[in-house]
Amino acid sequence: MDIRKVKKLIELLEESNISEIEIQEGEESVRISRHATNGVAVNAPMMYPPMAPQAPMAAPAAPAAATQDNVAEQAPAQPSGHQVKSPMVGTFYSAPAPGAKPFITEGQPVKKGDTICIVEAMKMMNQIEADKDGVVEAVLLADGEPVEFDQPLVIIK
Amino acid sequence: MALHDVLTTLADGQLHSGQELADRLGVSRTAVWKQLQKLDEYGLSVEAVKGRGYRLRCPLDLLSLEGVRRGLKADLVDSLNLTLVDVIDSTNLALMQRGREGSIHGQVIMAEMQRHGRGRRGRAWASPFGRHLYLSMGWQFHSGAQALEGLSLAIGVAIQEVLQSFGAEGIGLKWPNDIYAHGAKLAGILIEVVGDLSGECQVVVGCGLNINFLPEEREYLDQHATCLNDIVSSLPQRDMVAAGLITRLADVLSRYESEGFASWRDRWNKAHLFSGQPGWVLRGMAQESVVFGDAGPDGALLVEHEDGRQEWLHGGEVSVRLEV
Repeated sequence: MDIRKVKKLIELLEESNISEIEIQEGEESVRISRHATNGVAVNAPMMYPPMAPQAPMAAPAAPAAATQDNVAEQAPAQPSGHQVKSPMVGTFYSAPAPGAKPFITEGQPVKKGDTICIVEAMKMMNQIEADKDGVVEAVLLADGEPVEFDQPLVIIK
Repeated sequence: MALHDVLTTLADGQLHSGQELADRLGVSRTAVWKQLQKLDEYGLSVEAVKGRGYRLRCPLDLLSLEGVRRGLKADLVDSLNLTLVDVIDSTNLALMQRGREGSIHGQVIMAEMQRHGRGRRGRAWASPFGRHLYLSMGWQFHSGAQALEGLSLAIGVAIQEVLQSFGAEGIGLKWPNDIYAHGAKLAGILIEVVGDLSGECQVVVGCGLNINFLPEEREYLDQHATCLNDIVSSLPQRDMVAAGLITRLADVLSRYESEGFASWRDRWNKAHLFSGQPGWVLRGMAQESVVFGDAGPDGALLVEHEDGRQEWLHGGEVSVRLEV
């Protein structure tokens, strides 16, 4: 299992009220628990007085993210080719501004280093570049859609 | 540079005769007149008083590299590469273009005016000549975009502290990175990242800081914008504000990769305007009613939905519900 994925899971756990996550992927599985005595458990008590976080809150968030990863990796229907993946959680933008011409369209040739889309995370506009030469096979998201870490954005052939 | 020389002479708002300008610049009076025509393109109104000369309708406090450097510590003067231009399309755009060709680490671009000042998602940022600050700084990061989480919030804290150092009061932060004073927008930040987002990448931090509105600017800006002049008892020189901004930005950028958002989180939350308030989150077309919490360890904002469900917000627009 990708170490970055494990890191992300730990972060999800830290940000939530859930005490344990277990994820299985093929033959590998990982369980992360807050009650362990290792560093993962060090979750500084977060004080949000107005929020009254009693409800089992982010519980859906973590599995959802994990599922999304699985879907992304296993989905057989996806066009084959080189996947350009999102380096972060954020919002996908296909164009530099609303209504502007998209960076790329399907069937268009791209060169390594060309900007193919933007992923915004907390107002940081991350310009995603093609990491190889090729032709755009598919743009997998619509402008403004949320993206998860490592989710494929664009397929280049 | 003749135009710039005309400007530095006229900046005091006093009358200067055509002959005086010609002598000072070592050009003919016709050449001076031609330069004065160009000031129109900068949106500056020059009054010609018959028989006496020319003057700017509003005096200007122009930026100067020497002045900005005087406000910086020696090590910053040495390590940063400052550029000042009169007019540019966009300071961020210029640095981003440089960043595609080579390192922009420690490069700073300031402009007196932006033709196409940009905010988030291509929104225009009004950038009239010589009134405010438009400044972008480039920085190299080694461990990818993940290490940058929360940077936009930390930059907000830095700008707030610069303004407070000049005696400004009542400044608050809106998630993730807008700077407000008394309910009106005072400054904006646009951060763009280019390069290998899982490794060596270059970050461009752009700041637009309103310093001193013209009376006519207020008319088209409506009530939701404010400037430094409105919230301090004595307005500092723009050079000094620029130097303060550069100093704090360099401080955040040089420490962020090793320290992360943790070093700024408490200060951000203390200045958070929406803490505990009801409001809305807008994502794409969907608008949800929430109550705002504070920023978490990575800068994400905690919100509570109407059904009691809590969520860490990484994107979207937030707005507060006005209490009636």
